[in-house]
Amino acid sequence: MVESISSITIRSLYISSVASFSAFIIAILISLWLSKSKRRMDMLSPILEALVGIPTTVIGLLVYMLLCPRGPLGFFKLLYTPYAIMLGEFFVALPTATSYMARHFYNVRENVKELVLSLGSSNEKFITVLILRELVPILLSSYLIAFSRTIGELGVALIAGGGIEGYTNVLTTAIALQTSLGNYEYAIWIGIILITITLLIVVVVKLLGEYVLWK
Amino acid sequence: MGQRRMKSLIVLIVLLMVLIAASTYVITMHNSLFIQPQVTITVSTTTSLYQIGVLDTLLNDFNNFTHANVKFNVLAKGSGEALRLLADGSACFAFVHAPSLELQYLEQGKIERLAIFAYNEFIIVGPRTDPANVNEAQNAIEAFKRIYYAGERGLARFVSRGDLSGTNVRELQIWRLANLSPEGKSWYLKTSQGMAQTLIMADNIQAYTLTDIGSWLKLKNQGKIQNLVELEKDPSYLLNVYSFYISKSPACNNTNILNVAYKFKEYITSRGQDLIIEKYKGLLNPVRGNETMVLQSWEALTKLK
Repeated sequence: MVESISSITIRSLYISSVASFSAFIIAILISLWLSKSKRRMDMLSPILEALVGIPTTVIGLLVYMLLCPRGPLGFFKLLYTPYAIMLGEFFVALPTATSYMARHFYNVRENVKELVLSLGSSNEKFITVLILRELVPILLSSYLIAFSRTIGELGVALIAGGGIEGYTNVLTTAIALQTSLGNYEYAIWIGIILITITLLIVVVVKLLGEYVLWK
Repeated sequence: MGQRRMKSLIVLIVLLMVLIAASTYVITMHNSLFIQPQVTITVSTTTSLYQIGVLDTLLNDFNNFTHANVKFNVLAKGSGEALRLLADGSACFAFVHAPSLELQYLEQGKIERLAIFAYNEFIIVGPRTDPANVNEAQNAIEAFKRIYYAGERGLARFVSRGDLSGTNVRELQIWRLANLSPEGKSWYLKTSQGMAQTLIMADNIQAYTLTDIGSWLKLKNQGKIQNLVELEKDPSYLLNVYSFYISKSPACNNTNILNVAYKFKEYITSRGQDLIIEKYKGLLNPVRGNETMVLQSWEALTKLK
């Protein structure tokens, strides 16, 4: 009756990597635009930082209202599908990734600008190239932040995804469902897997970044 | 400089819109590719049926027996949430046990009952020592009164689901019948969680609670309950009636779904009844033979406000 942990794990990885990757791409664009001027940073980054704190259950509810049959996007019939979870998790990860990236982009940009000015050049293109080189480690860690936020969140997956066995059941909803059925032992096993995955991915990506990408 | 900024902003917005359009296109294509070949129906159910395992058995057997090849996506929720999802059309089928809530949605014309298919009972469970003497109560109302006064004297505690599930709704009805309000008392704990968690919590802190007999026996047999015992049964106030509903929302108004609904109604009132006796004796009783009795008590239960 209970579906295998491995299929839940694969589904979880798939859903949260799609969600976090799309959030990551959009976050890069937004942060590039934000970090270009101090005024934008001062005005918008506090808002972003506030958005980071929105509970995922609230985002889940908003996605539910958006996608439910009477909602504005109801005709897509996306409620209780993996895509609904991806959509919600996208909004969960976006502010986190953006606020982290924008702050670092801005700092890097300021440093590089000073450097370039001190070298007696003011070529915008030159600055951009230098910045991009400095950005790789920041990009990696911001992707990781986005990923761990999406794989570990429950609110969206439960409300917009429903935790349907064999379809939208991810690690966190499996924990919630098994807990609500009183199977605490099974739930804790899934919990251990969740922790292991997040740790493993962080370690692997960090190592890859340190030893492969720039050495 | 300002114009360049404007330009880049516009480019960004256009890019975003293209991305969103492209992704929605891919998603809708995807859906039509993978889901159309079979009928998919979202089913919301009270957790108790899910936990006993009867719903899975019935849905699978329905598919095998009628060769319907329907994919059922099951959402296990409390009856309150299950009914709300049904009324929204987010789920097209629902299996619930909260007569007074059901009546509200029935009166609004948002849902339709196709069958009452099973019943069992709620029981009051509590610590073995029974500090409130619930054991000696004549009926459920008296039992709740005893718990209330024992609670006020600091002798007993009561754990409530607090989530508008079928069990919670019944509990609130009985408090009302007893003319007592435990709301806000320090001995009255609301968990807002499922039946199993609530039972385990009551077990851990040696408190009283109301439970359906299915979830209780299931947990008891798994050895997860050590300190609680059955204290009170009451056939008049504690009958637990499970019904099968469909949504009247436009989202569910399609011939495929309605066909399955009427086929399933057929099934659950005939072959499904045998299956319930055969596999879930003691946990759940089929209504066949007792239809009028169960219907009457369902009606009586909707009137307990």
